[in-house]
Amino acid sequence: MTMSDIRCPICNRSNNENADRCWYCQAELHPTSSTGPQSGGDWLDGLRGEPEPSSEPAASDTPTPAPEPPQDEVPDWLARIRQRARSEKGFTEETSESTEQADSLDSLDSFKEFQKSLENQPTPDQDSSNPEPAKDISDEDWLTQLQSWQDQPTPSEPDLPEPVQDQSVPFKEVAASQEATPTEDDWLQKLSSETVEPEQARENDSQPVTPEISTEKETEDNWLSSFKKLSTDTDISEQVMPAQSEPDRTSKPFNTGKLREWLEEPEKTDLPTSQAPTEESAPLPEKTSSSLENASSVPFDKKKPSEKPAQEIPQENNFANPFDEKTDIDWIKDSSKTNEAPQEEPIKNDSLEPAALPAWLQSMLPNKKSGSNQTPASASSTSKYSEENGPLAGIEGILQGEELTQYYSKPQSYSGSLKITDSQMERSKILKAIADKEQWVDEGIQHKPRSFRWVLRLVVAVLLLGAVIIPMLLQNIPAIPPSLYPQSVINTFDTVNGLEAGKPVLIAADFDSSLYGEMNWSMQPLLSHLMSRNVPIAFLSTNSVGTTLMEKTLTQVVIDNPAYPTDQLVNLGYLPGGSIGMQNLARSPREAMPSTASFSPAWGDASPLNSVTKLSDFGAVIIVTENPDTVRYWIEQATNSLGNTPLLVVISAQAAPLVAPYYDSGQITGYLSGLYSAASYETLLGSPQTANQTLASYQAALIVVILIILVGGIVSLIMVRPTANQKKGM
Amino acid sequence: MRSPLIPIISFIVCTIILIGYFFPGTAIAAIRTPMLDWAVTLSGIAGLVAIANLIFGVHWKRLRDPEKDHLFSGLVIFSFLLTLTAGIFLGPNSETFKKVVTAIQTPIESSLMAVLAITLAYSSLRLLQRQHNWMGGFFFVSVIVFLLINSGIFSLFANIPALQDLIAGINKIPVAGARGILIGVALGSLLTGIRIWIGSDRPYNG
Amino acid sequence: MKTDLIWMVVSFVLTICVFSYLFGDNPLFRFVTGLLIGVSAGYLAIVIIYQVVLTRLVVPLLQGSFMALVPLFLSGLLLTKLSPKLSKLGNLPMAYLVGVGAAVAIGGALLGTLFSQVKGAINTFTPVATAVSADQKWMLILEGGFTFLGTIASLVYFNFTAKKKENEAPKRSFAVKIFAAIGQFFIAVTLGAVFAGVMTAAITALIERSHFLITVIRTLLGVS
Repeated sequence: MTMSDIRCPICNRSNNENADRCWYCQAELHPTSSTGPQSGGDWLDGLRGEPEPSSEPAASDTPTPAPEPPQDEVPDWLARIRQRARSEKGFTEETSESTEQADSLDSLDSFKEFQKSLENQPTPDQDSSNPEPAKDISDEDWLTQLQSWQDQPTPSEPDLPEPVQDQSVPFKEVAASQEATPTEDDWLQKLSSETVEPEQARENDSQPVTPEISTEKETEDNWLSSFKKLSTDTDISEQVMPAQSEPDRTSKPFNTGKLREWLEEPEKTDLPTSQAPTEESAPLPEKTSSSLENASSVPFDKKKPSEKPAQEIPQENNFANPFDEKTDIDWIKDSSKTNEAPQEEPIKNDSLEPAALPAWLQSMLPNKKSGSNQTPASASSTSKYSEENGPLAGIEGILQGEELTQYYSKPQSYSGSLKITDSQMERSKILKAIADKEQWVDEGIQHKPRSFRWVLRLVVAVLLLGAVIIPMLLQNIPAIPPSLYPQSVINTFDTVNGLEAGKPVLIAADFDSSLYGEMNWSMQPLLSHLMSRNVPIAFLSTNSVGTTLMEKTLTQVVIDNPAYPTDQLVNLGYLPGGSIGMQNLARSPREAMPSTASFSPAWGDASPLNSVTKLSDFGAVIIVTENPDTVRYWIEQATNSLGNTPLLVVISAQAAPLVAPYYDSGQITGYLSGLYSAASYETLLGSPQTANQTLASYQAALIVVILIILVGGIVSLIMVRPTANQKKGM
Repeated sequence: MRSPLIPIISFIVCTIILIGYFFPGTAIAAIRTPMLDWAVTLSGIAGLVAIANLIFGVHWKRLRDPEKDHLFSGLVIFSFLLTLTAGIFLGPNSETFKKVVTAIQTPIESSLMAVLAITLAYSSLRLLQRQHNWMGGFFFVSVIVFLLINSGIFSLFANIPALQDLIAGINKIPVAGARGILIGVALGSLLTGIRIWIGSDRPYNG
Repeated sequence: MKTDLIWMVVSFVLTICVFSYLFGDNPLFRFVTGLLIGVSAGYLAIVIIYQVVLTRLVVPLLQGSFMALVPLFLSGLLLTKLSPKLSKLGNLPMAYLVGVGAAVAIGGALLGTLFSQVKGAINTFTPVATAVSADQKWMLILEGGFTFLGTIASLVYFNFTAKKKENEAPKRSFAVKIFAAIGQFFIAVTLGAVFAGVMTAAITALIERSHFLITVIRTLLGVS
C-alpha cells in the first residue's frame, strides 16, 4: 500500500486516493455528510429509523469504545444495529449524531475485535479500542434480537431477503467462538488472504484491486468481504459458526453452497460482492435504489439487479440470520443459482476491457468460422487456411501439406489454333505499318508510264540484238582473241592431252535444253579434242533429254572429225534417281547401266567399255551441266570411287563461281566455263571453231550490257537520292 | 495415332545405306546394292506418278472446271497425249521422236533463255535504285568487273604482267565466298538428312 | 532433208513465238508454253517407260529374277499415290525413297563437300611452302589469309544466333558483327560474279538463238 492510497473505512482495503468510493465495497472514501440513516424503502430503514434509547448498561463484554471512524464510513444500518444493541444492553443511547457515531464507532470497534479474533492476525492498525469480542453476549440474546427484528415489517421491499440481523452481534459471537476453535479460522484466514478476483476486474480502475486484506481497519464491512472469500473455499458453515448452539441455526450459519456462489465474483454489478450488507450508511439513502440493489444483487443474486429489487438489504427487524442455513433467504438462494457461472468465468465481465493481444497471437487464435471444406487453391491464396487435424489444427495461415497431393487436375490442353490477343494484334499492326513503309522507297522513284517502260525494254532488246546480229552479219568485225587463258582451261587441255589412248571417257550429259546453245559451244572443242585423240566416249544423263542433246552435239563434232569411229560412242541412256543413281553408278557402273539406250549390251566384249568394271577404270569423267548442284552431287558421290581418274567439268558461266572452290580444293582437275573458255580452249587446240566465230557477238553483247548497267547506275545515282529509310539500310 | 512402321522402315533403310557408305567392305554392302537398285527404279516410277498427277490431277481438272482456262490445259493434255502416242509407236530411239526434243523443246527453252537475257539487261538499269547501300554498291561493281573479265576484253592488256595476277586475285574473292556458301549448304544437307534419319522430319507422310 | 527443213521451220516459228514476248504477253507465247509442257511431259514419260519400267522391272521379271518383285511391289504401292483414298499405301515406298536419299545426302555432304572444302580452306596456305622468294612468300600468305578470312566470314554471315537480354532485342556479339560485315562483302562480290555469269549465259543463249534465226533465214532465202 502506497502512500497515495487510502484505506476504506468499511472494508479497510486500500484504494486510490483519487477514488471517491471504495473499489471493493463502494463505500465512500471521503464521507462529507453524516452517514445517518436514510429513509428509504429498504430493509435497512428499520435499523436506521429506530434508535432505541436504551439505558441498559453495556455488557461487560461489550467492546470498549473504539475510535470513532468517520461518519461516512459507517453505514447507517450498522449504526442502528449498534445503537439498538446498546440500547438493549443498557447502553445509553445518544440521540445526537455523535452518539450515533459513537455507536457506529463502537460497533466498528467490536467488529474489528471480532475480525481480529477470526483472522488471528495481528493488525498493526488494530484498534486498541477493539474490545474483546462479544463473549459476554449470550447466544440467546442476539438471537432474540434477531427475532425481534424479524417481527418488524420491512418498509418497502416486497422481496427483500431476510435481513441480516445484528450483524455485529453474531460476528462478535463468531469471533468468540472462533477463538476457541482454531480450525474454524481457516475460512476466515482465507477470507483475509484470498483475493476476490471479481473485485480485481472491476471497471473502476482507480480502485486498486489488491487482494490485501485491510488489517488496519476492521470495519463492519469486512465481514461481508470475508464472506465473499468464504464462497471460494470450503464449507462455510463449518468454518464460520461451528459453535453456534442455536437450534434454529445450525452450525452452518451460511448456506454454504449458495453462499459460496454469491460471494464470488459478481458478474453484473460493478460493486463488490460483499457489498450487500456493507453498504455505507451515509450514502445509503442514495444507494437505496441503485447501489444497494446492485450490492444486494451481486452476492445474493447473480441475476439482473433490476429483477431482484427484493434483494436489498432488509430492515432490521427482518434480518435473517445470515448464518442460518435454513433461513430461506431468497437473495441468497437466488444468488447461489447465478453464482455458478461467474466462478467458471471470473474474467468475463462487461466492465472488463479485453486484453490487447499482439497481432501474431491474435492471428494464431483458432478461427472457428473457417470451415474445413476449403480447397487448397483457395486456402493457399489466402492466409485463412487452417488445418483440421494434426498438431497445427486450428491455426490459421499455415501452408498446406498433403491436401495438395490429393487434388489432381487434368493437364491443360492446348489448342492448335492460333490465338491472338489484342496486344499481339496491335503489335502486328504496327509491324505491318512498318513493313508498308518499305513502299515509301517507291514513292521516291517516279513511276514511268507503262508505254515508256515498254519502249525502254524494246530499246534494250534492239541494242542487244543489234550487238549480237550485226557482227554475225558483217563477219568482219574483229573480236578480241583470248590471250589470258584461265588456269582451269589449261589444266583441262593438259588433262585431255594426257589421256591414254583407247581408255574410254565417261561423259555425264546433265544439261538441259535451256542452255543447250552455250553447252553445245562450250563442249565442242573438248569433244573435238577427245575425238582427235581417238578416245572412246561413253555418255549418259541423269535427265531425260541429256542423252538426246548429247547425241546431237556428238553428231556435229563427228562431222568435224570424220576420222573418228562412231562405234566408239556408247550411249548408256537415262540414269534415274539423281544422286541415288550417281551413287549406284559409282558403286558399280555395270549394274547401274546394264544396257545402252538402244537396249543393246553396253559392257560386252565388242563394246569399247568391256575393260571397264568400275568408275576408276575410265580415263576421265567429264561432267557437262549448267547446274552447280549437279556438279556437287557428282563430286560427292563419285569422288571416292574415281581414284586417280581425273574429273573434268564443262559448266555454264552462271555456275562457274560455285564450281571454282572444288577446283581450288583439287576435287576437279579442270573446267571450262562459258563461251570464252571454249574459245580459249579452241585457241589452245589450234582450231578456231564456232566459239571464236561468235566471239565478236559475244563480246559486243557483253559490252552493251555493261554500258546499259553503267548508264542505269549513273542515272539512278543522279536522279534518285536515297531517303532516310534507305540510309538506315546501309 | 500414326503407325510407327513407316518411320522405322525409313530409319532401317537409311542406316543400312550409311553403314555401307562408311564401311564399304562389310557384308551390309551386299544388301546395300540391291537396295540402291530398287531406289533407282522407284525414282523412275515416282517420275511417272508426277507426270500422271500433272496431266490428270491438274490440267484435266482445269479442263473440267468451267472457270479455268480450257485452251491452255487442253493444249497441254493434247500435246502430252500426242507425244506419248508418238513415243509409243516410234520408240524413244527414233530420230523422228527425238525431234520432239531437238526441234520443239530445245528451241522453246533456248528462246526463253534468250528473252531472259534481254529482261536481265533491262532490269540491270535499276540495279542501284533498290539497294542504296554499300552492299549494293559492291554488288554493282562486282557485276561490272566480272562481266568485263568474262568478256575477255582484258586480253587487250595481256602485256601488263600484273594484270593476270590481278585478275587471278580478283577471282579469289568469289571463290572464298562460294566456299563459305558451299560449306553452309553441306551443313544444311547434313542436318536435313539426319533429321529424316532420326524421324524428326517425315516428308513421306503425305 | 525435207523433214529437217520442216523441223527447222517449226523451230523457227517456235523461236519467233517466244521472242514475241518482247512485245508483251500474247496468245502465241502462251501456246508455246503449253506446248512445251505437254511435250516435255510426254517425252519424259516415254523415256521412263522404256528405260526404267521395261529395262529394270519387266525384263528382269521375264528373265526370272525374283529380286525384281520387290521394286514391282513398291512401284505398285507408289502408284496408289494417284488416288486420294489409297494414297496412304504409297507412304511405304516414299519412306523407302526418302530414307535412301537421306543416307546418300548425309554421306555425300560429309565426305564430298564438308571435309574437302574445309581441307581446301586450310590448303590455301600450301603454296607458301613452295615460295621462291620472301616477297612471293608474303604475297602467298596474304592471299591465303585473305581467302581463309573470306571463307570464315561468309560462314559467320549466315549465323544469326544472338543472345537475348531482358528488355532488349536479340543482338549478335561485336566480333560476330565484324565478321558478318566482312562476310557480307565477300557474299556481295560472289553474288555479283554469279549475276555476271547468268548474264553471260543468257547472252550466249541469245547469241545462239540469233544465230539460229539467221541461219534459218539464210537457208530459206537460199543465201549462204
